[in-house]
Amino acid sequence: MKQHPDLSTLISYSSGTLSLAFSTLVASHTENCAHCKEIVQIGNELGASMMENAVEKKEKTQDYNVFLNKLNNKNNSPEIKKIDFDLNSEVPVSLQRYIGNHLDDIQWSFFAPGIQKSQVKISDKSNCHLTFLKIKPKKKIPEHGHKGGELTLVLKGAFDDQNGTYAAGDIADHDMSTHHEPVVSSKEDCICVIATDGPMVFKSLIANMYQSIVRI
Amino acid sequence: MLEVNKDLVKKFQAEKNTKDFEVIFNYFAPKIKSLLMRSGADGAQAEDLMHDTMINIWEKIHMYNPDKGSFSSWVYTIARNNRIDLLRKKSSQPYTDISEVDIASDNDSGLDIVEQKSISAHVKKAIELLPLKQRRVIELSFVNDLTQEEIASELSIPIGTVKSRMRLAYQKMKDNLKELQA
Repeated sequence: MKQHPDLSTLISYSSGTLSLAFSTLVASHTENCAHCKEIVQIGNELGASMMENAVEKKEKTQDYNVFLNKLNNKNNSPEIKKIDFDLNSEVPVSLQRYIGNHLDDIQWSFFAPGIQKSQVKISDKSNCHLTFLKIKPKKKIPEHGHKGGELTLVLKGAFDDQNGTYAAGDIADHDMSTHHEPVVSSKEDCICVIATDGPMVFKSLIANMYQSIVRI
Repeated sequence: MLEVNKDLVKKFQAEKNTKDFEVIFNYFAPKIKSLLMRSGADGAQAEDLMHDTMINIWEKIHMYNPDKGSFSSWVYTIARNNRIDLLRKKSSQPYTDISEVDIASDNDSGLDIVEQKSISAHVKKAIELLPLKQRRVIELSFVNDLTQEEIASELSIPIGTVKSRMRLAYQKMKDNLKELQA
């Protein structure tokens, strides 16, 4: 993998302060990226150190017997159906709970000529969703910026933008200061998943008007 | 008071008995609860999340691999994921990342983890060595559970400055850790 989340994004992932959508994409990338895994692990050690050194008020409520009762009740309750994760799937494990093990199972709808879209709600919280795009080779997404941050994880194929090429597993991490015009550079369709803090802002008026209807 | 060390964790992994787990519980429960309360949970929420975390530790103990990090960082990761799930996101699906999935992975963290106490002491020292402004950003993120935007607002600085302080803090921390572990 050549394209990684920004270091500050990885630190925020370790501290648990990214949105659920962002956390899911960072986790998906990190699964197979030794470079980011090391950074996240140092972040986790940092979090553990903060926990170890948390100022302790001696709480009387940490009664071990209360905990054991809870544990027994849980053991006696009906088992929650476990998801069968597939480590060899082209879908990262962290995404499998939302879309299953096969990219072919995604239900696509028309977004624009050469581009199909699928939105998956990942939380009860409003606006917490992931947007999947399936884009034909050589197709361009019109030049745009962002009202918040945007993470794009490539699941299949590849795209290019001003910052280089993004292939399967790579992540593009853009903030409000970035404008880009991604174009699919693979011979096959490019499937990617996008998490945003705010809507994309297109340079073209027509694209912006369209965006106000379809919303990414 | 008995100590949580790697032998105890290994013994608990092998035997999974309530006596060994009581030592783990007594050590971590107050720390987890305290951390959760500092990040904005009320007493009852923190108590529930702490219990959920301890149940997860009990259930997933076979997945802990000391080659990938300290036991403490594994506990922290579970507590963090529970916090993401219940405190802020109210997700319809429990949040889980690869570290909690019941599968073996060959990929090590790449971090040379020594004794649990030692790594914790080294990280604590490495944090103390950070310049004040960088340390403040890290504390607001990890202890106060603030997003980058919230940190920018709290410190009245641009978000780009928050990001660059985080990057610098990480690099400095990594260098400090290398020096301390040498």
